[in-house]
Amino acid sequence: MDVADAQIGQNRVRDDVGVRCQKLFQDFLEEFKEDGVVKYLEPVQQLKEPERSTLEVSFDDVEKYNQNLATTIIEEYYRIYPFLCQAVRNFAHDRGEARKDKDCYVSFVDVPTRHKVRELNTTKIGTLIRISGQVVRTHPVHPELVLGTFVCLDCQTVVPDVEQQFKFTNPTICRNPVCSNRRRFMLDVEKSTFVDFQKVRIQETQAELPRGTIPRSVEIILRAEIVETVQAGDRYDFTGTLIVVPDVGVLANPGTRAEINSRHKGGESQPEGVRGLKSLGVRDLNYRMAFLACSVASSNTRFGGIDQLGEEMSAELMKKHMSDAEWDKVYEMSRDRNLYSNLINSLFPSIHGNDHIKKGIILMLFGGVPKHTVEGTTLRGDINCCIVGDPSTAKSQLLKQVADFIPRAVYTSGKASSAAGLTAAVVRDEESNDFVIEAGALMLADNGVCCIDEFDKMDPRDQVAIHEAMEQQTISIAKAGVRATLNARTSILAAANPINGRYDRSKSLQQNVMLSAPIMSRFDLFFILVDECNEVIDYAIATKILALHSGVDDEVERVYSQEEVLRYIAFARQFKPVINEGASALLVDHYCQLRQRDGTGSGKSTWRITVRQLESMIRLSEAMAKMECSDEVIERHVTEAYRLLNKSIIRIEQPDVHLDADDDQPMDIEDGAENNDIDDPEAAPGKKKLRLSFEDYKNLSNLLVIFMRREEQQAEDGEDESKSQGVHRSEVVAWYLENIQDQIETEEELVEKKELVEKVIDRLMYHDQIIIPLGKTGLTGKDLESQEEDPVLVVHPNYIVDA
Amino acid sequence: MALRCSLSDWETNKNDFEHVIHDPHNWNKIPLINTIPNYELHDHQLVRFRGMVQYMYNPEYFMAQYEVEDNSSKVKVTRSGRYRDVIQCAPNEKVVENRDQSIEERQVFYCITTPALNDWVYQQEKKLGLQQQETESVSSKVCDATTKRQIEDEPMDTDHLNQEASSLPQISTSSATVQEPKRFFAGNSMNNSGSSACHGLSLNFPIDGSHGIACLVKINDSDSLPSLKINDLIDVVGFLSLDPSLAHVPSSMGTEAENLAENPPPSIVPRLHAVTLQKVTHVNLLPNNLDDIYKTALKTKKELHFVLTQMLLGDSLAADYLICHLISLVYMRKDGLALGHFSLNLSNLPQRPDYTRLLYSVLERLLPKSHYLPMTLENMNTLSFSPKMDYEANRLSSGLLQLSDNTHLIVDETRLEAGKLDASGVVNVQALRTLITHQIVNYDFQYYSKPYDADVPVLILSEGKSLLPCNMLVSLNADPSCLNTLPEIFQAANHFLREPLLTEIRLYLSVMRHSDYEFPEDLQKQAQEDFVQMRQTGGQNVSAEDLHLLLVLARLVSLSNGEKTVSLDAWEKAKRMEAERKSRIDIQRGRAVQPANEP
Repeated sequence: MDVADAQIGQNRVRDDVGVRCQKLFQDFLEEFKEDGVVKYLEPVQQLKEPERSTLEVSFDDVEKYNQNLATTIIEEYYRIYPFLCQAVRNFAHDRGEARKDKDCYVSFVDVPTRHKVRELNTTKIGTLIRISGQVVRTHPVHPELVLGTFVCLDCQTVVPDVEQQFKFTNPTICRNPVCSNRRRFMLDVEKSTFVDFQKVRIQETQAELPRGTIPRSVEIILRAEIVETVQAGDRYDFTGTLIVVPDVGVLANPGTRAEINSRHKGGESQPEGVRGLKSLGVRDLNYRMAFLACSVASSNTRFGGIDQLGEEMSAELMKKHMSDAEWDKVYEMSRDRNLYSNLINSLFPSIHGNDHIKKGIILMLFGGVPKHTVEGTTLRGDINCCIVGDPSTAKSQLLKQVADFIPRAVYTSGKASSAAGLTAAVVRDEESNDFVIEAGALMLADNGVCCIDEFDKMDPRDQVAIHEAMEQQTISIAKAGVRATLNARTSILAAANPINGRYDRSKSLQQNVMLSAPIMSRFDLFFILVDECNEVIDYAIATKILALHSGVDDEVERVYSQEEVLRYIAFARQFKPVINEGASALLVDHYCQLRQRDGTGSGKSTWRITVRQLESMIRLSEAMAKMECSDEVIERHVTEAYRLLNKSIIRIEQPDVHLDADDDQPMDIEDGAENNDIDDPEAAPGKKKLRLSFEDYKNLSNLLVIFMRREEQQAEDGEDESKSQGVHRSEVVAWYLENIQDQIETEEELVEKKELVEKVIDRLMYHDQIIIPLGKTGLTGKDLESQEEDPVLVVHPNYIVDA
Repeated sequence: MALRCSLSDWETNKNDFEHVIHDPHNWNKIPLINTIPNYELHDHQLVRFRGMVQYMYNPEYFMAQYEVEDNSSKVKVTRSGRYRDVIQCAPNEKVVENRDQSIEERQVFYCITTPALNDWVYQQEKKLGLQQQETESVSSKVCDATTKRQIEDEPMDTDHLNQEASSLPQISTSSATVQEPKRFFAGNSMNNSGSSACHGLSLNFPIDGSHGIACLVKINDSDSLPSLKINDLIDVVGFLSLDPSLAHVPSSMGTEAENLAENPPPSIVPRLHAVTLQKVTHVNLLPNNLDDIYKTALKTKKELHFVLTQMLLGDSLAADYLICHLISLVYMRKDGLALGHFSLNLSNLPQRPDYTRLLYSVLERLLPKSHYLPMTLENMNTLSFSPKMDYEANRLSSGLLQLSDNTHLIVDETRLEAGKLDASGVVNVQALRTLITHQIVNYDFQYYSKPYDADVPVLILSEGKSLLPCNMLVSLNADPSCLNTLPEIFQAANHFLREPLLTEIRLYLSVMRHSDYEFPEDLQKQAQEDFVQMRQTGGQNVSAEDLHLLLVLARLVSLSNGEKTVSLDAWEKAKRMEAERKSRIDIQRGRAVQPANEP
């Protein structure tokens, strides 16, 4: 259609702007140099091949060359498109030795602004824009008539090059001056020009959809070289322009008007086989929009919306795309000392406690660094998490919230999804009768998070199917003649129920969950949620729920809004931190320790510590570093990663706490609070040991901590000089004994309890380091000795009472 | 006479008419096309439509202004394209090509009669329309809109007047319930006459075989009107467009199905160019003064409780729960939780085949929108529950669960028999489960599924514990003596429920559902204490979920008493109800011969 404008324009008004642009654009093609070479010389030479017809031009280059030209192209794209194509044709003829009459087209890539389907409206008509969406329907490719050559049926005169304007258009009158035929023409197919033509429909992506609305769609018209480049179900960026069909001019055509008014259609005989834009929407007052695309690129974004340039996005580039205010916020966040906990509170305000799980999820969102070995295998950077827990412990809510929050996340239930629903299936396409691959949840979550609830309910067959997806991050299909390996670069967040409804502490994790060992080892983090009865927690839960119901905004203020967090995550993900020497030494240390313990530890060990756990630790450390926008993984990050991993592995078993362990043998100090089960219970059966179940220990310590916090608070409020530093140890002990006095009957018990609480405090002080005895500094005029025995205690300011 | 206003009047005198229409008194005078047969309507008539948004099309672009030239006199006239679908162009005229014709955008919504609307609401709407017509015809002096009728230029108009006049006497003799084939009856599938007006075109009702009309609502000035979501109920006033040439235009671009979906024949799916619209939260017609309803709430509740207790075979607790269920709604959504949904499972029903149906027949008379779903294997396997995007025709094929807010779904599980649930049956059960637990329906977009919020209270009637998850499981404690007199009880109940009590109860249910409520601070403390107490004694059997339910129940209990603030009494009552309900379940469990421990 339009490409011929310039040629048959003799009875038209000359478009000055167009002609000028044609010249400028041709100059640009001839002159634009990159690294001293005329950049478009080589591509244009390929146009002499018969199957090539389109020259791809980067819009950035045009902008660099001539800002005015670029602006004109953007604003008047549809108008000057024929001229640009003419410029390419001339260029191809002059420099590329293409045939003179060969039709050449131009296509632009790297157009800066991207629009959503919903943003398309009449103001965008005719301008060069880029839109993105998911292809939902493809139509077969047809030839479209561009220039028709007609033969007059009355006098056999040939009427060449009749431009086809969206619909099949006969010549208005025979060229032969004596013949007044206006209607009877025959198309000479041999001498007419056709171009490949395909119509596809794209739809708004899920993430862009406003709540409660149906996704909008738009027809895309693909022509020439870009037909058959898209597949239904995938997301692409299309560059081109919005056009209105029919063109306004057509309305003046008497034939069209007759069609509008007549009740019965189809009287006109139109030659078969000529299809195309014609009669698209020719009716009444209404128009339809279509998008005429000149280039297609598959869009691959991580966490949607924010990073728009796909995989090669760097932190610098992202910064460029942010507004000043956005950048300031990101910068401010990266400097935030309490970023870790602020992120947690901002993301999960309505779920109480379980901070380590939330931390794990946050790290999952940041992810590690994927690596490629020299052999060409890849090591995944995505972190997989699994939460096992008693019913009604907000597992599903965690998953749902992640799925709600992350744009490219899929929530699915293991029970409902078959292997196809989770991975991919081969189905026969009804339209073309070809086999096509239908994406499952894991593929849909590519570059995102796949939340799978009721992971354990999954059919064992399906569990096998996702082995590959979890470690290799690909899905292989070999079925019905289709063999393909598809990407499933997704983090998996799974939730599972324990076998008998409740988690049995006396058994190991494997005995508690119906998951095969290979699958279990593919999770970097395993968290156990146990429903514990605990007054403190119950109060907190009740408060949260009540606040929720009465519509009061959250007790814990969200420090950052969701958008801010998302933007920050998208930004921080661009970092590729490298492990420094100190950190790697520490990693080795920690790994050896884990292995060691695994080898010598108690028989009912949780799982085998393998290289996978080392990889996990590395990934977690990297995620930590990313979170701080650091280019280097340092010891601090490794320590936190180790702590989390430890918590995830070890918390599975919380053996009884041996309070007098110190007396028996040297403690394995570095092993954290929960895992000092080095001494075998059978070893000293006779000796009566002071031991507490982990639960009791935790409860007791929480009680003490809360008491001390309260005292500290009071002291601060009351500005009581003598107490301003905290509570004396003896006071704590006395308070506790007073608190439980109704449970004590004999003096023996009293002594026992006193001993117990003393031990617990000791342990809290020296082992868990939750309570800090204050040193001499700042305290003058006091008896040193009394301090030694009865030091002032304060709770570690960063300690959080949790389950 | 009904309020009239022609399109040309509207254009010349837009502000005046806008004013007139927005007067609620006049609003009801506009003919409601839901209740008027097609043949009584004419092109460009100002009409009203009440229904639900089923699908949203892409926006449509049209010429807001265009010029027409007379072939002989060469006189150019500018015409407006707003509120119209077809270019006005006589045979001796032609459209002038003009580069700067302004193109405007309008939103297009596919709307259908509110699904699961009960018959009495329809009759109510219809009666109101008739009353208006009658009173209008008596009073000769009408508002200025009718005087303008003389200028009306539609040729159809006189014709139409005659028709209307002739139909008047006939209508005045007919009482609201008799004759008049229930063309617009939008009830349930069990007692309809079946034949829906199909011309190879499904009107896309969520409920198969239900009656009603569909309508394409086009909105020109979408900015000044409330933004619509899918499944919203709307009451829209606009100009009808019935030009037959709008029927689908064969085009080589789209497929046949696509064309049919986008341009259905206007005789079946009329176009309505909205001039104004209101979102409707409930379909019941309310009096202006709501205070009376609050005042009489306790009394009304007592009456209702009495009837329900009888119907539930003397079980007062179940009746309490049922009342709460009938006024429940999702009042807040936060962090993926739908707060306030209150699905009820009445189990341990007497094993009588007619009982559930009798029960529903009464509920149907109380609720404005309800649907009875016998959970037979056949229904589960053949019906489609979740709406599905049909890319072939480019529209959303509706499913049973595409219901507007506060539509009650009554699932009759006593109809279930042993058998095989096929693949689509499993999907359907899953959809039902998701709806009950999250109040969400996943619409199938083929490449992904997209969750849409719903607010559909589900009542499950079952003999044992339902296979669907449910907030509240109430085991019915039937009085055996009632069982023998079952038909009589329902006869009595139906007899008891008549005017004016019936209207009172209907109003009571509608008003209480949408009433605001407050949970006072001191009671929050109390609730907190109670919860901790419960955890201490109940151990791991008490979960956070229980507190959620208790809070919802307390809210509903106080609302059912007509109190907008939750009182200590209501809280205590809620706790008592829960305690009794749980003890019943325990007894039930104890009575059953323990068949292994169920997870």
